[in-house]
Amino acid sequence: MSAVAEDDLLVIDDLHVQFDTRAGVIHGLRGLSLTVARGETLGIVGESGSGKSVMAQSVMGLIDTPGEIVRGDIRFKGRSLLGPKGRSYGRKIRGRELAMIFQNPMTSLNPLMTIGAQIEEVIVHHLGKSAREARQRALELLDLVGITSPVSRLSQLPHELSGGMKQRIIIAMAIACEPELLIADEPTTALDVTVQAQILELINDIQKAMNLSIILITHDLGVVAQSCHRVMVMYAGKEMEEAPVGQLFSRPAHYYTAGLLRSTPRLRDSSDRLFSIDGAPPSLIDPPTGCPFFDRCEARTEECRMDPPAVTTGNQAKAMCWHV
Amino acid sequence: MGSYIVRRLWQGILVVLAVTTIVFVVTRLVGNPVDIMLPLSATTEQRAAFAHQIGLDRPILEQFGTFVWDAIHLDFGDSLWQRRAAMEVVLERLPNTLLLLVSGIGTAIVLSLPLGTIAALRPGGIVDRLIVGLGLLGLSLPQFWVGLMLIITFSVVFGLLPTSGIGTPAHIILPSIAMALPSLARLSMLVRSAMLDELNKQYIQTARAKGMPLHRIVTVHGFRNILAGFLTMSGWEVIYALAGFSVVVETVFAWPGLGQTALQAIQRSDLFLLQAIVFCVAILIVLINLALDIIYKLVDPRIDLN
Repeated sequence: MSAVAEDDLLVIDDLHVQFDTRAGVIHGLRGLSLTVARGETLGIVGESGSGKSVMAQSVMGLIDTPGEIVRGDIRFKGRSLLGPKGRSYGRKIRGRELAMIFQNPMTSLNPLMTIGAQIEEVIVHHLGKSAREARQRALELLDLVGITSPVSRLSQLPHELSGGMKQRIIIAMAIACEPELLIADEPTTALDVTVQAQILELINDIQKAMNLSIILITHDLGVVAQSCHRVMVMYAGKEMEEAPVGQLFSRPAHYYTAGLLRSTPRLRDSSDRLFSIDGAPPSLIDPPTGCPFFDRCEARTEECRMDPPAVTTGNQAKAMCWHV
Repeated sequence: MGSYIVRRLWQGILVVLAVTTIVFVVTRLVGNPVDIMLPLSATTEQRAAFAHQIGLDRPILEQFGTFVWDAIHLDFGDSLWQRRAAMEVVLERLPNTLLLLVSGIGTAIVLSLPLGTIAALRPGGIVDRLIVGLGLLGLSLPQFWVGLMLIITFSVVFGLLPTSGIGTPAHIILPSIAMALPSLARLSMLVRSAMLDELNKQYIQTARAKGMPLHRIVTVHGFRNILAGFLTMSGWEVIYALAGFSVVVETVFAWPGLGQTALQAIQRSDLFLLQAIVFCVAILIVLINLALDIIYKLVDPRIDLN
């Protein structure tokens, strides 16, 4: 485990999350560790079920029964968010210093509350502002996220807005108290391509203006290349590789990362078939020991049946593989 | 909204007219009203005189015209049993039933919200299982039996409350409990499942991520979204009771309400009184439905009434 530097805003340390379902115990996260520095954008890439969202929910305190954090720690500004003390610390900072944007803007807003009420409640609750001050702040926020005629928007209901506008509203709610860390869980997946670019740009602008740290969860490598400083690749509840974004794209160390990059369609590629990695991720109900990518890896050997070592592949870069 | 209300009122008038017509036709289809209303021992002259008195010897269309004209003026003739205007009897009994509805169903409405919500907070927990168990019990126990058990327990054994009748505030306690129980069970189960549904929705996750405290998430976010469905079902509980289900409680506790009066009117073949009761209940149900629609629109502005 790497030493915790003072300026790490968020530290996740050997996190294990399980879901006790009827079908069996699902191992959603199996020893995930990561750090986010101040002002940094960390991209998290992986397929569905790789544990990206479970990680986000763990940080936001949204893991409900039958889910449970069984091992590990989550520290925000050096203080744990787990345990009874951590939970009360978490209640204080969530929505204020630590905020989250969800994947689907269509369902993420209360359908019967006005836009204004949903933004203002964060400001009133966390900053103790009066209703009038909160309204003023809400107007500023709408302006900041690029919503036209903010005064009339405040009294509208979510169904009167488009998907892109709703996502802007959700971003406005998330940054209402000027948080230090923003977790964006596939913030553009549910949007039209043209709107995707606008929302990404908005997030990038806000980051620069507020010196936010961002965890950007996505399965779109294009988004990662555009917005992130550092990338972590996840697979089957584990970390496979992490590296600064340039290195990851030019010199992927892990065979899974390489496969992922090759699976991205390219315009100049002349072949008429798209590349895909054969096979499917392992079941998380009874996950195999050793490298989780074993079954699908072209370079597998007998030692891959044992847990792979974390090999340093550069500055702030490592890969969990026997064959780097 | 204004034009909608006017249109619904017109529809309501049509419904009341239709109900009145059906009552008119049915009372003349089931047999000769004279035979039904007069005792078997009545002579032919008495029958003819009675038929003339209530206008049965005139053409059917003229009878119907008179019937509708009188109904508009809330005149349904005299109750044979009470020997006074049928409407007067109805207006005397209706407040008693409304009182029982307000205290009984009202209690159920008020209590079901916290009970259902508490159960939904920890599904499968001890409190949830207790509330669901009691709910099932409340649904399956027959109302008349519950009423009798209440009388035996609180009136006969402990002597705390009067067994039956009307008069003091103490008289209304037991009938209200008997009235409330099945409604409370149904509404609590409804609130529980609606709240469970709601609390699993994405916008609740958003509210939690915003750091909103649990009580605010439940009472502001969740509650607002289950309100429309809850009010509809509450309205239906009132309508069920009005449409005759209050008769059980009214009979067990000798509560002189409309349900009991309707039963007595049937037993005594008092057709005019029965017509007046049906007419009034139909109007009330139409009005409750209209009120529900308007409340619905106020609670959920997304609903397009037109």
